Amino acid sequence: MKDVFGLIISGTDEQELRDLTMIRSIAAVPIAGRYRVIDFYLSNLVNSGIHNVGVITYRNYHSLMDHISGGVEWDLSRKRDGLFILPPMSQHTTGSNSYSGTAEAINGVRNYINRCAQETCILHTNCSTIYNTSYYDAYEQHISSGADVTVMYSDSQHDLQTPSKSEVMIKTDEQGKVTDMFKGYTYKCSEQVSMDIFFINKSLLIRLVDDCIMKSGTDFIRDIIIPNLETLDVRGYHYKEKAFKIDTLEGFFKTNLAFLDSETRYQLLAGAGPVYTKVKDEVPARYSKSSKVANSLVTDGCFVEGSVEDSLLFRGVQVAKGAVIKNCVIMQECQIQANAVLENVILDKKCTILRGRRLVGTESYPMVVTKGSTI
Amino acid sequence: MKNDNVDRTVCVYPLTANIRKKETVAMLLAGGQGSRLGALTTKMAKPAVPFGGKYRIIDFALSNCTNSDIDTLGVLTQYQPLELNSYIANGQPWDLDRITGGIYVLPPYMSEKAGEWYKGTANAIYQNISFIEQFEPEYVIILSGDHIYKMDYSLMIDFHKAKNADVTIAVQEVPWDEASRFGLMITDDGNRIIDFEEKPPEPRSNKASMGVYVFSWDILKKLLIDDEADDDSSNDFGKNIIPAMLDAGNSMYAYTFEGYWKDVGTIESLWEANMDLLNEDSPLNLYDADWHIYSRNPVMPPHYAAAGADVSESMITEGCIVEGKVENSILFAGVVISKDSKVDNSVIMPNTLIGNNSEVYYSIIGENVIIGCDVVFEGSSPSEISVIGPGAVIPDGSVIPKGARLSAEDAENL
Repeated sequence: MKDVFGLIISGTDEQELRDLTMIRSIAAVPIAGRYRVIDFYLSNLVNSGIHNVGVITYRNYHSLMDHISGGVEWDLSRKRDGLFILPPMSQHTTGSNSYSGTAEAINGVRNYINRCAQETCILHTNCSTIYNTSYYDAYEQHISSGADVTVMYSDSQHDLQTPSKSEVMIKTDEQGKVTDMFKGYTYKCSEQVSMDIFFINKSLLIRLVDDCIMKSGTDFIRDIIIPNLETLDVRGYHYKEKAFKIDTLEGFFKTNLAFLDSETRYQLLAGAGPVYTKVKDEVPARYSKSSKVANSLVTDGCFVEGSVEDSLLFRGVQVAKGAVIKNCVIMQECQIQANAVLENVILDKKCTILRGRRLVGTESYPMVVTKGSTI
Repeated sequence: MKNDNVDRTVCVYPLTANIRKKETVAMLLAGGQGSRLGALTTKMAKPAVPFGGKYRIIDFALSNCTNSDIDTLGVLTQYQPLELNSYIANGQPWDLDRITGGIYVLPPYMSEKAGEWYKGTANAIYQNISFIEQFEPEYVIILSGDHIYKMDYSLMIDFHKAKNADVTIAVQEVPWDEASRFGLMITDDGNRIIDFEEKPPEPRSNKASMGVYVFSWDILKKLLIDDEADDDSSNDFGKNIIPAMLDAGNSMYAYTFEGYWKDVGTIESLWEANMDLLNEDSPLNLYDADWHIYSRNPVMPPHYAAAGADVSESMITEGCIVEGKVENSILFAGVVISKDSKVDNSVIMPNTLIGNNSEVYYSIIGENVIIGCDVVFEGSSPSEISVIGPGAVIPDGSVIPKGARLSAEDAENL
């Protein structure tokens, strides 16, 4: 994959993750105990032998910068190529300090794209799918089919009560050519769901973006791919492993809980290669005499004295005696005090649940507690 | 020949030379075999032995250096260095990958006329005089890579400066009835060392040497050269250098260190030091945000406790899968405890697998061991720790007697 570089758009306005993305872009959302969403994207690229990766930042990207910094953990701290963090305000074309759509985001980093020594771009128009793959196979299909654009899709999604409004569905013919593409449907009109990963030649990409901006378009899929389906050779690549959408709260919640299944966990965290992340040097997790734990993922730095079932504890979570946690996603450094009861809850980082409190959500509509809250 | 053409007014950048200068250089002795750890150290040096769930013994000395602002460090290796070399690599986990200074692994080397092994601790430093000289240090701190402790070396160096000492030796006050197991410093009221005794039957002091020395470099350098010239010397700090300094009337001070310190040179002490971590108010606080213990982390997922798992009073780290019962134990990265198995009062090192329905009591199990199904360990007390060496495969249904010491080769004959 010497001739390929990766471009990741780390956030857009379109997710429905409520409080989780108020303070950070979706790429920086913590997931699966010790990871951030972007870890999957970076690791997939690195595990495919791609060493030039641009990450376009979005709005509040402090948290994202803090996490990926120089890219050492992904082996992307390099003399040649490596990791490039591309803040949109570095471009004068848009005038504002962020972009309103993915096409605009790409337009803002055209200098980076032009300067890349590699010809083919793997463009990730958002960070809302969790999957573990290497791109060798898809790239090979993209090159041998002679397609202008290859889009990765999957048909193994969650069974969600309400699909995301930003979900993109596609239809392909027998040759794998994309015949139709839908964005913004709230009901399922196709089983083929786009993973929003595109293989495209970089000069074609720049040309299409130029066209789009001239016509006041802003969105890569809506304003570039869909109107050009007839003129461009757009093909689908069927990704057959599991891919999980996390752009709704329900999807995010279910994706996290899916990691409790051994097979899924293995596929997502070791399938095509390890998922790299920032190392925090936490002490191993500790359990006391009174602790109970069943079907859960527990991360280093946790101290468990209470009961944890069907849940994920991220780094440094403390569960006091008598506390009961069931079907929850508890992010870094939360404190659950004695006898508190939590069920179907997502706690963002650094929340404190006081003694004896009771928080209950439902599986399709989990309760979300904003970062740093005390309840 | 004269060099009249050289323009003497050209400024030569002094930068490279000045920047290299370091006030303190640390030298860490990591070449020991640790023969009393038996099967655990047949393939690796003692400092590389895993400890405390995600560390290795050497992490404590390395992290102490980083946290004490010592950024130039030579690690002297000799016995089985492979594991240690690849673990330390460029020193990045300890923030010791620096533009100037940083961490250097220093094995014995060949020179023009001959090459030789490190004959003793003092000889190891002697052979690396030129390494130390490049940094033009004022002080050299000698450390050993086989103790578990958190110590701010900068305070000890301050003490050394304040006393205007030639050498300062860190000591710990040990219980009097144990004192005869240690090298003891006899001091006057002002902490000046007036005598030294190695494991005396009738101790006159309870100040045990911790094997941490701060030397003024010019003094040490001269001592090392003199010591090397003496054919009768065994080139050892404790046996030769320190007595020579006493004889010469050098200014020697004892610096009392009051925190947790443990020599993990034996199976029992290694097991105990691990178990100390499980204590609710462990004397060794690993959670201290100002004194992180760093280590090279494997990239592994959080550990998974299955529906039938039963975990209490234990430390478990990333990559583990627990389906059975774990009590009062420490599991390192990637350990698998299968269904209906029981692990009690044990230390299980990285990537070891324990099969179904096995019972492990009072043991230290090395890395990459496979323990089959229905295996029973008979140990029942801290004085009878069983040890299984790295890479061993224990067949199904084996019975491991208490206090057993099995290497991978021994296990083949089970």
